[in-house]
Amino acid sequence: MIKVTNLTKTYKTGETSFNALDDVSLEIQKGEFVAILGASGSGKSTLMHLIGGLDKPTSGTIEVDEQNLGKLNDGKLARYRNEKVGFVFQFFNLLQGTSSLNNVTLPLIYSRKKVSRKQAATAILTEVGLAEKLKNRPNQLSGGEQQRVSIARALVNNPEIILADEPTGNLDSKTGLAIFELLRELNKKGKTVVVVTHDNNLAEKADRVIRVSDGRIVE
Amino acid sequence: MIIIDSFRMAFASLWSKKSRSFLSMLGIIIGILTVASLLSIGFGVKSEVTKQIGDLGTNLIVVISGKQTQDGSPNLSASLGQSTLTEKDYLSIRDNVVQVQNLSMMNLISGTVKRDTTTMDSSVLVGGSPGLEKAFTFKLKEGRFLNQADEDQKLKNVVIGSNVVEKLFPGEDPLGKTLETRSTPFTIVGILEKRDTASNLGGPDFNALVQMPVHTSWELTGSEQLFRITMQSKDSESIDADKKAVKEAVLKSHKGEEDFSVLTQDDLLKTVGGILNIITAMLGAISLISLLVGGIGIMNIMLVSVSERTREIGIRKAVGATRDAILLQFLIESIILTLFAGLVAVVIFGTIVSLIPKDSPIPIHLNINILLLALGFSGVVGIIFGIIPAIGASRKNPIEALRYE
Repeated sequence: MIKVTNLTKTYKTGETSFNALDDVSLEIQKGEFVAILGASGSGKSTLMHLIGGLDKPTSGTIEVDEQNLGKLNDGKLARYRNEKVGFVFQFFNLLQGTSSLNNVTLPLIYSRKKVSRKQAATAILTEVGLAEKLKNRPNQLSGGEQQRVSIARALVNNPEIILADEPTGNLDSKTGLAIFELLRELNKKGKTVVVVTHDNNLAEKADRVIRVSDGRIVE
Repeated sequence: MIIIDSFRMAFASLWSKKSRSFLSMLGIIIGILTVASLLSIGFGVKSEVTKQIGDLGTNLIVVISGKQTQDGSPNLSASLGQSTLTEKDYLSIRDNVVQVQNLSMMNLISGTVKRDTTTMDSSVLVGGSPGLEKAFTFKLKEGRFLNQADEDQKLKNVVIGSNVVEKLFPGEDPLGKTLETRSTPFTIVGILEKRDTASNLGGPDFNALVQMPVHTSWELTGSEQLFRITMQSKDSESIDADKKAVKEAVLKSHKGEEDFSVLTQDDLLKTVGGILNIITAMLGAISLISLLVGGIGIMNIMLVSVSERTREIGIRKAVGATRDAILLQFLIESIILTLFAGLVAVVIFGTIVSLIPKDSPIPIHLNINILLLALGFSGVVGIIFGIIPAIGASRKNPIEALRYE
């Protein structure tokens, strides 16, 4: 489903350039639960950003369902992020001034699908256990609850791939575990889940672990 | 769909920063108010002046001293100097251009009028031959106009306007009484009704008129010059032909030297209108500066807003917002700001104008076009000053935006 071939991403800061990813190739099958494990600065987040279409590769290709992300223009890439993938971030990245419901509706604003946004968002929030917190703003929710909102937002447009960047990194271990279980459930329902983490224990719980170090895959 | 959503999001975001939104709107409100009021006054003055020129009389043709320049503006030094017009020109017109009516001579005399110890220094002292009263549509309140006998015998009779009565003969009937100018006593034979005047455009205030026969004025001043020769065409169609004929007649008596101008009301309207248009345009341009300042305020606040909401932009992009969608969202915010400000300004302006009494000396000319123009302006300001921050927002790299603290 996801096919990464000879992927290199170079960041240039002034005179010096730095390879965040160096000739990486990997494949992820539909319905897999994969952990990308690596230390801070290993390039694992960059890999996830590239797979999620938030950035473009310096060289190499990323194909998702035979679609080459590097060749997509801004509009098509935005549509890819909107329909194909859902992001879950370490720091939740919710809009602060507005309710859970509005946060979860956000992807639908940019979607071409004609659905009742409120209905869809309410259904998803209920699914992640936040039926009582529809009107609450992020600052009125606990960390775990915020991450659930963020997962609901990732799910609302029914994407095939969930990309989670340190989803438990900002939560206590118990809550983190619950969030991880939630992702596992989603995987059972057919979503392809890619979790980026530096936590060995957590990574071990995935179907497969891809270890990244210094911009390269080590195993 | 995305447009409606953009409006909703823009409103929500502006509403969440109420005082900031209001303050940045204030600049635009003041700018639009300035533009609208200065334009209104400009147009008001123009329509007032046009009306006054029309009130002078109909189908007027006036010969004045001094050649008008090509572009229609009067050559001031030539027309203010010693007049080159004389009775000879008048006679030439009378003999050669027989179709014009109410041909008359007019002479301006410097001097004040007084009665006993009361002096009126704002009087308009003229010598005028019969016909002048018809060309300028004087209306008699009492007594009679000057006639040919007054001219022929150089009688010391005068017709006076209403202001002169108020100033020198308050509460009295001045008919038959005397007033004095240049130490010469004159008998009042006629009193004019009060009228609107074209004095605002430098024309004479006929309410302050003291008219004596032209020949009497020459005797009084010892100089036989004419300030202007006035006449009327039979109808508006013959004005152009008459104007040409008059010019030829005066040229003949001036031996071909064109040191005079023949003007019609249209010429006057064109000249005055041209000057007023320039003034209105200048007022407009000056007022645009205040709008510019307001616009910069909007741009500033939008730049701040874009920078503050970098993370929001990143989030929106991550969930599928295109560059265009982000651009639209921020552009609509600034347009809403300025349009709403324009609307407020229009309401304030309309209220103020409606509170000004009808007989006020401020000639405000309120029409829907100015209000629409003001609204249009405010929308354009929103686009012009909103586009740069909006483009900046749309071009943000989503990853960097998401990391922004």
